[in-house]
Amino acid sequence: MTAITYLFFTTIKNSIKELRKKPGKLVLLLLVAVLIGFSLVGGNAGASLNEMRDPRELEAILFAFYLVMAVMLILQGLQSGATFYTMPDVNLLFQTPVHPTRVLVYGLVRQMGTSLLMGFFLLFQYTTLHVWYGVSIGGLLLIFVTYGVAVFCAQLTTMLLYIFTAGNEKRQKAVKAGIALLCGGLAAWVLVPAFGSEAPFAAIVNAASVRPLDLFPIAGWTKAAAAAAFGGGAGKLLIGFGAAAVYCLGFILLITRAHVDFYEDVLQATEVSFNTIAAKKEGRIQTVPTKVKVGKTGLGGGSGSAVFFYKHQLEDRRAKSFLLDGTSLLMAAMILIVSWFVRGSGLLPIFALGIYCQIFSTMAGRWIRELTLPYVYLIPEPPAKKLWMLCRQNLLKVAVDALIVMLPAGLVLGAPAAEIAAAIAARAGFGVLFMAGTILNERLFGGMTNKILVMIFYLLVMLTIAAPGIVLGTIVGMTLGGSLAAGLLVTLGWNILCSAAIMYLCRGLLDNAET
Amino acid sequence: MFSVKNVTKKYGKFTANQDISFEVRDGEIAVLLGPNGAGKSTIIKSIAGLLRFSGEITINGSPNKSLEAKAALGYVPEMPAVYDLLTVWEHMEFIARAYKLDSWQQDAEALLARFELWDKKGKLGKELSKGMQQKVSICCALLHRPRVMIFDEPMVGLDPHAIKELKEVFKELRADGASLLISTHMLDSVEDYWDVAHIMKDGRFAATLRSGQVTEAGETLEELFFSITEGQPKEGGDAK
Repeated sequence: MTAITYLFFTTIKNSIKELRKKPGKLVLLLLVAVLIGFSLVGGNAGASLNEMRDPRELEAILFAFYLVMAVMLILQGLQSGATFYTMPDVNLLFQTPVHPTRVLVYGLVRQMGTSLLMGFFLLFQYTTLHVWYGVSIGGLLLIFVTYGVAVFCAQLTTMLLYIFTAGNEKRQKAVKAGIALLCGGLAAWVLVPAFGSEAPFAAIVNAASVRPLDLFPIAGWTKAAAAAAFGGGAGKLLIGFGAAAVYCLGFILLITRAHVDFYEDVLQATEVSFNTIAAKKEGRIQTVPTKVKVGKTGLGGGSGSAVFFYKHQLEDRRAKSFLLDGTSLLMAAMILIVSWFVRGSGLLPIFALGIYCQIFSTMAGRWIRELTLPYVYLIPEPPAKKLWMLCRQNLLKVAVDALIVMLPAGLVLGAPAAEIAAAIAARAGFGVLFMAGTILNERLFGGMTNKILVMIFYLLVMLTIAAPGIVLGTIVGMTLGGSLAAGLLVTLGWNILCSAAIMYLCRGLLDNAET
Repeated sequence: MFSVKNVTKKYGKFTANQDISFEVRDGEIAVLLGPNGAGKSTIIKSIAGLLRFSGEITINGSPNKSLEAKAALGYVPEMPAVYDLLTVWEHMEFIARAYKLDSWQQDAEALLARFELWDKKGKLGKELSKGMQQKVSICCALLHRPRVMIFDEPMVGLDPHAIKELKEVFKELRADGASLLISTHMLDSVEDYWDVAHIMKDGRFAATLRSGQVTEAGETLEELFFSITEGQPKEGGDAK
C-alpha cells in the first residue's frame, strides 16, 4: 500500500472508529438521518395536494444558485487561493518523496468528498422539490451530486486561477473583469426580457432554460445534468457530466504538463483554511478582514462592563460592518428582488422568507468572540451586566437589519403602512430571539465540540420556542378579521418575552469560562 | 495572598486536579512545575475564576469569583489574549476603563516602554507577532496593579529583553508585597527568584520545595525536578 492510499484509508478508518469515542458525532449522524427521513416521508405525503410547477423554474433556480456559489468561491479564492489540503498535508505529505501528481490526485479525490458533503443541506429540501416539481428520491440524489460537482469545479477553477495569477495584480484584475463581463452578459440575457413583461418571472425562466446555457461553464453544465432529475432527459445528463469530466481532466493535464509547482500556491490558502477551521472549532465565528484602516483611535467611552459596547462599536467600524454587515445587505437585496417578482402576493410570504433566512444568517455577533478571551471573565463586574453590555451592539444591528430588510420590501409590495411597521417590529423581535438563542445555545451546548450538532440543536430550540408565538399570532390575526399587523405584533410580544426569560436564565453565563 | 483548599477539577471521568491545597503569601513567588498534562494550567485557570471546581479558592480572603477578588487579580494566560481590531494603546484604555482606573496613562506608557511596545502603540493586535501579543497580554494584566498575579507560561515567545524585564517585574511585585504564582517549563528561568516550588504530576502535588531548603542541600531546582518527576524524591523536599 502506498503512503497516500495508506493515509487516505487510515483517515477514513479512524474517523469511523472515532464515533465510538465521540457519541456526539454519532448522535449527529442519526439526527441527520432522522431529519432526512422526515423530509422524505413528508414530501411523499404532500405530493397529491399540489399541482406541479413548471420544471424549467427549478432549472433556472439551480442555474442561478450554482452560478452565484461558483462566482463567490472563485472571487474569494482569487485573494487567498484555494486548497484541497490540510496543514498536516503541507507539513508532512509535501515533504515526502511522493510525486506531486499523486499528491494532487489525492487532494482532488478528497476534495470531491468534501464538496459533496457541502451540499448535504439539499437533502432536506426534498419536500419542496417533490411537492412542487415532482422530483423523486433518485432525482434529489442527482441534484445533490451536481451540487458537489459544481463546488468541485469551482474550487478547481479557483486553484487554477490562483496559480496563474498569484502575486500579479494585473492578471487578477483581468480575471475579475472577465468574470464580471461574463456574468454581466448573462444577467442582461436573462433579466432584460423580464423588464416590461407582464410575467417577469416566467420571462426569466424562459431565458434561463434555453439550450445554449447548458454549455455555460460550471453552472450551465451542472444545471443541465441536474435537469435530468425532473424531465431533462439523458442527453442533458451526458452533456453536463461530460463537460465537467473533460474540465477536470484538462485541469490535471494542465497542472502536470505545465510542471506547475503548486505547493507554494496552496500554502497560504491552507494556512487561512486551517485558521478558519480552528476559529470555528473555538466558536469564533467573526472573521477579521485582511486590510484594516485604523482611523480614529480610542474607545470613546464606557466604564466597567460598558467598555465592551464601545469596544464592539470600534471593532465594527474597523471591520467595516458598523450596524450593517455584508450578509444583511445581501439578504435585503435578495428579499427586495423576490418581493418585486411576487408583487401582489402580500407581505406575509416575504416576511416568512426573511425570517427563514434570518435563522441561518444570524451571526452570533462579537459577544461570542469575547468568550474565547479571558477579559470578560476577569473584569470585576456582575456577570449579568457584562452579558447585557456584550449584547447591546447586536441589538442595534437587529433593529437596523429589520428596517432595511422589511421597509423596502413592504414598499415594493405596496403593503399598508401599519403592516410594514408591524413587520419591521416583528422581524426585530425574531432577531432578538435568535440572538438570545445563541446565548441559550452557548449555555446549554457551549462545551460541545461538534459545532454542527450545536447548530442543529440551535435550530430545533429556536423553532420550538418561536412556534407558540407563531400559532398565537395566527389565531389572533384570524380572530381580528385577518389582521396581519396584529398577528405579527403578537409574535413580537412572544419573542421579546421569551428572549427576556432566556437572558434572565442565562445571566450567569459569564461567571466562568465553562458552560 | 491567596489560598487554594482541597480543589478538585474533573472533566467528565478525567481528573485534571485532585485535592490540591496550597497558599501563596504576600510578597512571595511560588512556581508551578510539572511535565505536560500534569494539571498546571487547570489549577491556574481555576484560580483565575475561569473554571468550575470543587473546593475553595480565596484571593485576599474573598472567594475567587467575587468582584473584590477579580479586582485584585491579574492573569497572564498561556496563549496571548489580544483583540485583533484594537491597537496596543487601545488595549490599555480598554483595561483602564473596565477596571475603572484613574490616571492610568503614565503607568500604561511606562509599561509599554518597558516591554518595548511604545513604538507599536498604534499597531492593531492582529498585526503583532506572537511575542508582541504576549507582551501586550502581560501589560494588560499589570496595568491595574493587582495584588495577586498568576502567570501561565509567561515567557514562551518572549525575546531576551522582555524575559529580563519580566523577571525584574516579578521581583518588583514581590518587593511590593504582591503574591505571584508562575507556571513554567523553563526551570533555569526561575532559579534565581523563586520562594516556593510546587511540582505537579498526574493532577496532584508530587512535592513542595522551599528555596532555602534546596539551597542548603546544595542542589538545583532542575535536579530536584527530574528526581521527583522521573525518579525517587530527594531528601529535603516535602514530597506528597
